[in-house]
Amino acid sequence: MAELPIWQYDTLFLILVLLFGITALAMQNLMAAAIVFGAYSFLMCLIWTTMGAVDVAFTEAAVGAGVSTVFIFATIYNTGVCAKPKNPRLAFKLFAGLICFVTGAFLLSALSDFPNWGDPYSPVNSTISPYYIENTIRDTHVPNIVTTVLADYRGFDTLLETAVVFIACIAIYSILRVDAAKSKVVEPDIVTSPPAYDPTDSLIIRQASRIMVPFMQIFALYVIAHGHYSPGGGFQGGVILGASIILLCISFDLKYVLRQWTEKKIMILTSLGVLIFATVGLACVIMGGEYLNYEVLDPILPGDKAYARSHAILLVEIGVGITVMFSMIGIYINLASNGRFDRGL
Amino acid sequence: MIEHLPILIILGPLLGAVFASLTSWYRPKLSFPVVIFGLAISSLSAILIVFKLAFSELDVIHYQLGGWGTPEKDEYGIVGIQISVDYLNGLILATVSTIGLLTAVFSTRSVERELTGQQRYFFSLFSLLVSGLLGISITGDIFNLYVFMEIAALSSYALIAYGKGRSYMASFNYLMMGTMGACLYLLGVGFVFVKTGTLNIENLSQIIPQTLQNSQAVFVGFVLIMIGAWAKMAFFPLHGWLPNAYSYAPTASGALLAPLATKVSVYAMLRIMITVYSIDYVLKSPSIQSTVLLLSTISILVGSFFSITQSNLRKIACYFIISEIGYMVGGAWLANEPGLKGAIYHVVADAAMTSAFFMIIGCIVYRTGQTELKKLDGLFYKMPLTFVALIITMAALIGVPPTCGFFSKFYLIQGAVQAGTWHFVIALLISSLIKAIILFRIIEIGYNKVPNPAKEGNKTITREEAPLSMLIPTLIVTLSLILIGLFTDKLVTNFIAKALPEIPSL
Repeated sequence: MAELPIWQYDTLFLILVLLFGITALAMQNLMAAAIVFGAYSFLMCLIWTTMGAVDVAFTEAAVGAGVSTVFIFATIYNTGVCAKPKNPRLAFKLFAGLICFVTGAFLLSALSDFPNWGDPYSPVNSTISPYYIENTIRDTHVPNIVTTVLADYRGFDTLLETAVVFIACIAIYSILRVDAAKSKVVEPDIVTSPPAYDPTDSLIIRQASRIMVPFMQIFALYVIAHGHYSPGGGFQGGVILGASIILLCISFDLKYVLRQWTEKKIMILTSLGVLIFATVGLACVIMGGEYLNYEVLDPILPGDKAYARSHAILLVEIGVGITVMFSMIGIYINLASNGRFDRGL
Repeated sequence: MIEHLPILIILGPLLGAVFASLTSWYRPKLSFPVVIFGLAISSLSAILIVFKLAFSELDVIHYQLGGWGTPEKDEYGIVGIQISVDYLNGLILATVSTIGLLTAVFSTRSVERELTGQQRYFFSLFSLLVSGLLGISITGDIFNLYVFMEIAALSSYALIAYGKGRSYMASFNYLMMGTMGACLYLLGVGFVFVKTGTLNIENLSQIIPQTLQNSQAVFVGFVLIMIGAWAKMAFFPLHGWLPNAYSYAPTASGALLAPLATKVSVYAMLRIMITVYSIDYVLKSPSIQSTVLLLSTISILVGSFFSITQSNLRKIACYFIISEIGYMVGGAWLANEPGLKGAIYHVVADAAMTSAFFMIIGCIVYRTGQTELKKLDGLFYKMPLTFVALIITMAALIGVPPTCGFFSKFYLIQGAVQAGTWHFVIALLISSLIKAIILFRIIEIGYNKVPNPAKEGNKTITREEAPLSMLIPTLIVTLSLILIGLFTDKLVTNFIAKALPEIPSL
């Protein structure tokens, strides 16, 4: 193949990323800033793709551009659209600028020491990457190396990252959740000032999302299950599953969703995912191996040792998916209803 | 089961937290025992492993997660994640898990009172925080350390925000600083990874000192990691978040966070300095070394001077932490044998001292609802045991023999004299002096001012200690201050001296 004109794209992306970043910072309207920030995430997503990190790009698209924008919207719904920045003093600005400049110069000073882009003899490409590329199929029968690194070679990190998502959910729950009946604080009723139109009345939006949701969920399940072969896995699939329910929350209303997914169900399932992951690990200990050494599970899982790893990866990804899905829903409902679990965006 | 001890240290609190969050929806009363059970497993495993280290020939106990790292699979041992216990972190693990367990027992009553009706996930978060801190101490992988850092940080933001009101802003400031710190750390790890191709601490310790002494990228990584760790431990000038965060937090969160969170960051710094980069590397840039030493001196002085201007016991304790951080960072960066000994010893000693201090404050808050120094008059007559514990803790902070504070100060001063860093010596002495002034102030208020019972309409002064579930952990930790001091010799020869790297003679 002829040389790809990659640097032109890179330059374009760099300029656009800088532009969007500065715009998002400068905007006073937070809603607009959130949208620009979403665009920024999409660009980052393209950059990851040009680097060949498709899994990362997928996650960036689902989390960075997708749900986190929705979370910001839900927060703005309860706080206010306009930022009122205190204009800092000039000395403060200069000081902050100086720190940024010094840090940037310091970081750039290391650039000349970096291996070249794509250098096959760089330390990373000559020690750890070849191992993964050469041995993943032998070790686990999983063609997608990223999935193996994520869920098996460095599975412990993934268990902990799942725990981080779980912590984020219960932390937000602990901080925001108020019992609407018991709380004595009279908050300004957000619904008394009705929006210009009632969004629940929009027939088109409701019907469109009603049709979209099942397809989204099937796609999400595919992403989780097919993570062995293609970009995807528990995190991305879980986010899409969560997004499908969040879409229902937005297009219908919270009460409609809470009728099926009660607060209790959501919070219990959030912890259940972590529990599934940790239990698979514990099962390995009980079967006589190290923690998360899926190999020893081969008496109870079909196939040989490598297939045991492959199947255990699927189990683990399902656990991740459950935790991520319900954490997303839990965080969204908390933010949108200001911790009341009754009404909101 | 004995070979699984290292992972049990982390799994105990982690699984305990998950189970506690599940049971909180069915049997809320069960959450607490579940968490205690998890913490007890962790503490027991940590103590067992410390004994295993002390009585065996092994220098380090490895545990390979996922079964990777066996020679036939992976000749370099870089594929999987490894956790390991050696002389340096064995002590830290035992200290952190034991203090975590004691604090959990301690905090039941105060949580019941302060957080009525909203404690559903409190103990889950509590337990997750402990598992995060233990993970930072046990891991043998610099990226895994970052993930544990996240676990500890996220749960501590929530635990601080439980305090409502002013604690929200305090927690937000902490979140900003903590996130910046973690980002810098991660960036540093990236720089190191690009040049070495491994994240395993043991591998790094072979690669960096030998082949990458002069690499600019690795040096930038070092500085970034250090600044990240300093932001996490509230080292001057990155200390602004600490006093508010720890003093507006609920008593129980404060009692857990204050002694452990900063100390574990100090451990992380020590690990990177000693093991990953080696002392040679640190000594290579004397200008940075002298700057850091100057900053630690300022840190000690700032902490001490602010503590004397405070009228609130909790704020005083918070500023003490800042000055103690100066001790440890300074000791570590003296980079000679007594200095490092003092720093490592002080991590353990200061965890116990701060824990005792915050537990005592918790007891006082529980009974009187006050932490203003002025309002504590006649404390000795109301809560004699608590007051005596407070005096012992203060004595340890000052450095009165035979408490542990004396020995850490002894090593630190010895190290500073050896390195010729006189400003550090003077700062240590001034800090002791200021703590002594505060001690006398406390004695004056608490002992000399006999309260007048008639004013409150009682015939005699009512003596009322905090409930036993709070008092006993407090007294255990306070006694440990003296015990650690008495067994200093054994601790230093059996653990700390062996944890030290080879130090180049000057």
